Amino acid sequence: MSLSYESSQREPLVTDEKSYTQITDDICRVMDRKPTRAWYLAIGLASLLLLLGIYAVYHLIVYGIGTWNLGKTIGWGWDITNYIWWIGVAQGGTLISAILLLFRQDWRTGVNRAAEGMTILAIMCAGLYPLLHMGRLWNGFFVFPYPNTRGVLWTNFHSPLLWDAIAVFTYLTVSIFFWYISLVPDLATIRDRANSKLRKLIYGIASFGWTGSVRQWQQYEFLALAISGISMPLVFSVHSIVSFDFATSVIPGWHTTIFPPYFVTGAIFSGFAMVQTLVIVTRKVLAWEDYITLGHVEAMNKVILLTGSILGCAYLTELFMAWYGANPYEYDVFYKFKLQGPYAWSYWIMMSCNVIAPQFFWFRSFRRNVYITFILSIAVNVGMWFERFVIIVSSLYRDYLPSSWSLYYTPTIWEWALFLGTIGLFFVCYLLFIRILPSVAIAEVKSVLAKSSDIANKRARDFEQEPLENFIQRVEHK
Amino acid sequence: MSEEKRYWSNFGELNDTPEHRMRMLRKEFKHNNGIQMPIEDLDTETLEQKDLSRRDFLKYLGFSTAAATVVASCKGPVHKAIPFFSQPEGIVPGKAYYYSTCYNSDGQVVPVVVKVREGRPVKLSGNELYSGTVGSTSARVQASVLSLYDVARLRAPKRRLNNSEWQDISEPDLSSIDREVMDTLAKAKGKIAVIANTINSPTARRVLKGFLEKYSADLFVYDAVSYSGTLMANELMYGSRALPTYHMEKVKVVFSVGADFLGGYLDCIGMSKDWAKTRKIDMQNLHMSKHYHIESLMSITGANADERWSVRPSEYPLIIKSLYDFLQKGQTNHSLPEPIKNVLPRIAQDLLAHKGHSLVLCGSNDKNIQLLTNAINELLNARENIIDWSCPVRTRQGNDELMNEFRNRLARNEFRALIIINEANPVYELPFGEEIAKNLKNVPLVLSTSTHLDETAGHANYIFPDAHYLESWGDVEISKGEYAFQQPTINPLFRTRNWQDSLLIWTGESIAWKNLLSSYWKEKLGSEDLYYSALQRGFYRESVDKPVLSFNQKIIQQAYADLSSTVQTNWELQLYEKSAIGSGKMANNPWLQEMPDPISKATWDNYAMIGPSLAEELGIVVDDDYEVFVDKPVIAMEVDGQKLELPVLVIPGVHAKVIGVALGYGRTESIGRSVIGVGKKVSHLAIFETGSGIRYNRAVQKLTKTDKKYPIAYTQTHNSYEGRDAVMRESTLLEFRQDQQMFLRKREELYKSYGNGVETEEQFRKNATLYGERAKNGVHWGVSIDLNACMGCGACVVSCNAENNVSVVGKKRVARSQEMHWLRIDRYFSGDVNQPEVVFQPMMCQHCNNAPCENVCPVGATMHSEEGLNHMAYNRCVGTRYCANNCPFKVRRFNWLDWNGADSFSDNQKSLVDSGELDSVVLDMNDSLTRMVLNPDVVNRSRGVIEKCSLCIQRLQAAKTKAKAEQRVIKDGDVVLACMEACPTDAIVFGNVNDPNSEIAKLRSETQKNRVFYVLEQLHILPNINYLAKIRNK
Repeated sequence: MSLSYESSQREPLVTDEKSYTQITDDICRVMDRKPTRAWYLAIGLASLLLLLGIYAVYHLIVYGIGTWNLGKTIGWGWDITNYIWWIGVAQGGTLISAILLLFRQDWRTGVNRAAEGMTILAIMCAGLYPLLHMGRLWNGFFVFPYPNTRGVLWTNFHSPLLWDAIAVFTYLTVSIFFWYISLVPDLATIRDRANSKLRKLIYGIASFGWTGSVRQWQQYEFLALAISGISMPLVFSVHSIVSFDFATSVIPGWHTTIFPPYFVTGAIFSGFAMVQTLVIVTRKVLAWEDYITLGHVEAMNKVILLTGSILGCAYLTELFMAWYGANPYEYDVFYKFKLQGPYAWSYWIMMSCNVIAPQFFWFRSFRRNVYITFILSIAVNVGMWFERFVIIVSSLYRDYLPSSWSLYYTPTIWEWALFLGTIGLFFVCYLLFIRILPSVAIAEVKSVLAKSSDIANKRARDFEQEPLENFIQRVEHK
Repeated sequence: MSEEKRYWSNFGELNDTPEHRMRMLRKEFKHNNGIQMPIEDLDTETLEQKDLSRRDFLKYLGFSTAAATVVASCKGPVHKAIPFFSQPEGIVPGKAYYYSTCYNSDGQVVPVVVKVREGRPVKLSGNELYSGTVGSTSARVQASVLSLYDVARLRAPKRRLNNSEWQDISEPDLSSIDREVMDTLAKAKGKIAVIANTINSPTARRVLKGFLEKYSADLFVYDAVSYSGTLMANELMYGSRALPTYHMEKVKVVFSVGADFLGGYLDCIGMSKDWAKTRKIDMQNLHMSKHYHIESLMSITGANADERWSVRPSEYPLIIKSLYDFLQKGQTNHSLPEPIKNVLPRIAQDLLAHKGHSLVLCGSNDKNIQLLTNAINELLNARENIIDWSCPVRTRQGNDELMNEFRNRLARNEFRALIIINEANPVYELPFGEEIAKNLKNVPLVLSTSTHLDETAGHANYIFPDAHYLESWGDVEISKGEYAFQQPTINPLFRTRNWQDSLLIWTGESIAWKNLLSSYWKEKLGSEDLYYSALQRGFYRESVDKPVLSFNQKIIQQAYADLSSTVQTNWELQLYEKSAIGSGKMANNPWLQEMPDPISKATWDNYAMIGPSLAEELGIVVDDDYEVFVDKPVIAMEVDGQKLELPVLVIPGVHAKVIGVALGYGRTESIGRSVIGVGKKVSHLAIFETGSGIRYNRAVQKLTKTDKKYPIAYTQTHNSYEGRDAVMRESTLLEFRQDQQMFLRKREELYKSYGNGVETEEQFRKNATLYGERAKNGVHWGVSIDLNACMGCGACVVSCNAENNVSVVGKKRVARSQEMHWLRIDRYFSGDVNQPEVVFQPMMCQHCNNAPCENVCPVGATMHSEEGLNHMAYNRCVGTRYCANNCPFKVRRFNWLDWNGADSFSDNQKSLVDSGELDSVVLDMNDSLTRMVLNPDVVNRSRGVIEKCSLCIQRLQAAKTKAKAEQRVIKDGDVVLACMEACPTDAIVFGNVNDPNSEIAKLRSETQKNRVFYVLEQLHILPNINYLAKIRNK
């Protein structure tokens, strides 16, 4: 009979017998060394896209929304599609950091930093659209309920767009706050390793004089828990509120009570897919396979499978209700103008990417295959983009009065340019982020090292190989 | 120091008591009952009264300095406005003046009242006093005010230097040029031709007569769309080369064979007005007239008929002959085409049964057909009540035979001088225009009085541009004994000269046209006062003797025999007039170009209108893709060797072998930027037939579909209302007689199925909501639109454009669904695609009491007023377009681009035009000259804001202010909406629904109660606009 340690049954979260020093070295190495050629190439490409986007914004502001292909019937197109897509992407990070923290899922430690970074960048990209889609964005501040001299003329609290603005800004604030707090110990680590005065100064200021005392750690842990408690409802509220933009309207295809849970699930789904896309590349390029293991990838794929299936149910429920609800307008929108009609292709892309594609993850070998995961994560990203497109465009284009049924909507180059620009913005920021900040949470990875890692397992094995009697004797007679 | 000497008027002032102060204040600011000054939000404590500490003072100082710096650093564009140095007499800024004058162009004669603001005409409305049209107008009449400010109008007399270069003739040179012209004319004496469109001005005819006599010149008169055959028939039969007046209001059964009498045939405005009187249902005895229609294409008139069939144009003779047989003998030997075979006997019986109150009209320009039609009307005794020859209409006098003679003489080079007057443009309008153009080169002197450098003027040596009618004097003979007057409403904008003046000068008369006119009328009416009062009324009517008509029976047999009954076997081309563009005289008017055609809903182009069967034959698939893509397949046809390629629009109800193409397009680019790339010219495809006149239908020898595509900008993609009875309600008279509650019951069904436990309208209104009903006190505006009367002509659309400064966006933008019309007319087809039924539904903001747009606006830019209006605050709008998305009627319009130069970014249109994203017509619309047409009472919307129908709020406010000044409550008829004002059929009723005596309140609660419905009522949006269900007499 030998002593058995439970964690050896579980897959270790850190492999290759890393020690604490090695972890610090591995992760900080990216920041210490000069950027690689691949990084320059990547940021060069991303910057080009960003410049294109900046030019598109300039063009948009000077000439107006008419440079887009929207019209009297389809008033929102790529703008709001992209907005919701980005905000959905953002959702993944918060879920990983907040909810998984509350549920004490230790596997989040490997990916949460990158995911949170992604969240903030995605909210930035998302936030651009509600501003830019305004006809007069220079008056966009009218949307905020700030004290002003206009007397009774204030914001309209009935409007879901106002709720949206509030929700998104709250979300951005809390996400930044949360992200930054978890960064503080790591920033101190970089400060301590810094070999130039400037670096020491910058990271020194950024780390708020963190010394790593027990008291600081206690407060840090508590704060992290508290903020994750605050952000947990945000995971649900933000996308619920985004869905109210549609659910509270009168347009068939928009006016439906299923939207809040449906949107939240979709957001988690797309958020995880985007994390996969980023993390799979990041771990490969930065050789962090020991910190972001196949186990991490698999865990996230399970979430994708779950949420994708829930989404599938939601789509079917929508179809069922369109039939069962006996509202002829809603019936037509779904059965005549989404499943069939000029935009049917987008509906079927959505269905296959969001519902069918994740079903491959029922197989363990697929879940643990990075290539398949990468491809499917891209499919989900595409599928979720089309979900928003389907909701917005193919509900609007044929609504109540057949006289206003729309012409076919295809984006102009300016709509493309703006979308590519936000992708450029995202990747420029992401590439800078992995250069100047530790994109794996050093302190948090270290915190699981003792519990779930190759080195912990090895130590446990030593114990386990020791006969029980020896152990008792050793402990008792010490 | 001595105190300043003080004067006082009473003891109150001396003692300065609080009571006195109060009284003075009240006197100064009279107590407002109702309307309050918008100062209630301001603090009553003013800055001076406040106890300012030094600290506060510095705070304010610092803040205001900083604010001023910030504000001063943003430089806005500077627009210069030059105020009057001294106030002109009779112009009060902000006050509108109204003048009566008369629109007279291309056969449409409409006495109008012109609204003049700050010296510029901005809006027309029909002259209510004139019984012929009673305030009605058409789209063209409404749009004519824009033509006044047309930037492409010639601004000075011109002399041609060489082929394409022109030189302005300066003012001092003008008299010498005139002398030169007179010399040349004198030399050319006897070899001079004057070409004109029908001149219906008695005084102008005198001017012309003087000229013709002096130079022994020949006059050639034609109409852009010929009635020559009809006139010939009338002359042969009744001895009068004129058209009769039709009293459509007395018609019980009308049968029209290709006569679009609501959309363009004859005096369509007056006729539609009277026609509508018989179509509105009197709910007491449930009666309406019966309207049968046979045509080859789909016209407005056909669309409004009770029963309609499509045939070939070459079958018209057969149908008229057979009808004549039926009426005379009760049977016919002719074998009739399929759809008509069974119905013609029925129609004949119906016509006979209502003898004296039935009428047959035929749109053909064939002499023999018209003779037979007249004979049929004689058989029907139509002259008893309906056809009135006592005041023949002389608005169409064109003589195609004469024009043909002109063409031949021109070819023989018989003319030494040619003068083109009164809107004539033979090169464009006549079938043999190109031949004329070619031969014009041989004429040494060609004088044009055209307002534009048009197709004919382009061949002239001199152009002495005519003035627009709104800057001219004139008189018009509407019909015999009925005269309308034209008076200028503005000084001529350019160095133009009425053609009458030009002729007077060339005749050597010293009198000016204006003086000639006034002296003629003063003499005729007896005194100056009478002349001025007639001028003020806008028209004058003298009693005429009822003519004794001789009726030539013999000629009928001859016509019957002459009329060929051969029917084409192949495809046929039918040329037609669109209600907006007509013959193309106003083709450069952007409002008309952008007005969607009532039937096809297409703008900015003509196209081949074909039926679904022909589409199938050509291999054109009419599916979703056809519907949602503006690029339409192009077909190529060959008509007697002349080739034509045109894009196709498939319109239900067009005959399977007929291709319809509208006249009036493909005009030369020099007449304005709005015709650039717009449509194709087809007038040369009409053909002159000796002994009759110009025929507008031709056999097509070859017809193929090409691989090309061409974009057509249309505003309505889907043709059917998909059986959505919450959108549209219609029935037949027969069914409605049996079950008058049918529409009410339909509404109750909706309440029950959507309202959860409610049964009546009131319960639905009150209980089917979480929030309860808002009180509707005081004035509550409502509109009712009678779908039986609305014929879809589009006059209201243009009137709305003019009244509310609605922007023109150009073809490219219409093709992107970005048109700005506040009011549109939805047109739906139903039933068999080959013989469909049509219904029109004017659709504007429904001013919902529970508006979906209002609660979604994040900034509260759209709000409900206490009077039931849905307000739009442009300044507050940030342009999220959420309201437009959430509008179930899709009537909200977004300013996608800077349409009208009201943007913060100046000059951001030109580069869009250069890059081809925007049509150059937008630049024309923004010219400082064109902008003079803008209604100063309505603000121009900048780019990025939503706009929509405001129910002409400027008119409501003006009427309220007036009522208040007169210390009375507002009463029915105080406000007339722009759409309602233009409507020739009085389909729109507007008023205060809280006033039980108002027409609308009575209509909703009593007179038309059973037909009232609200669109999408089940959404509980509570619209303030109701419709009256369409009922067909079937």
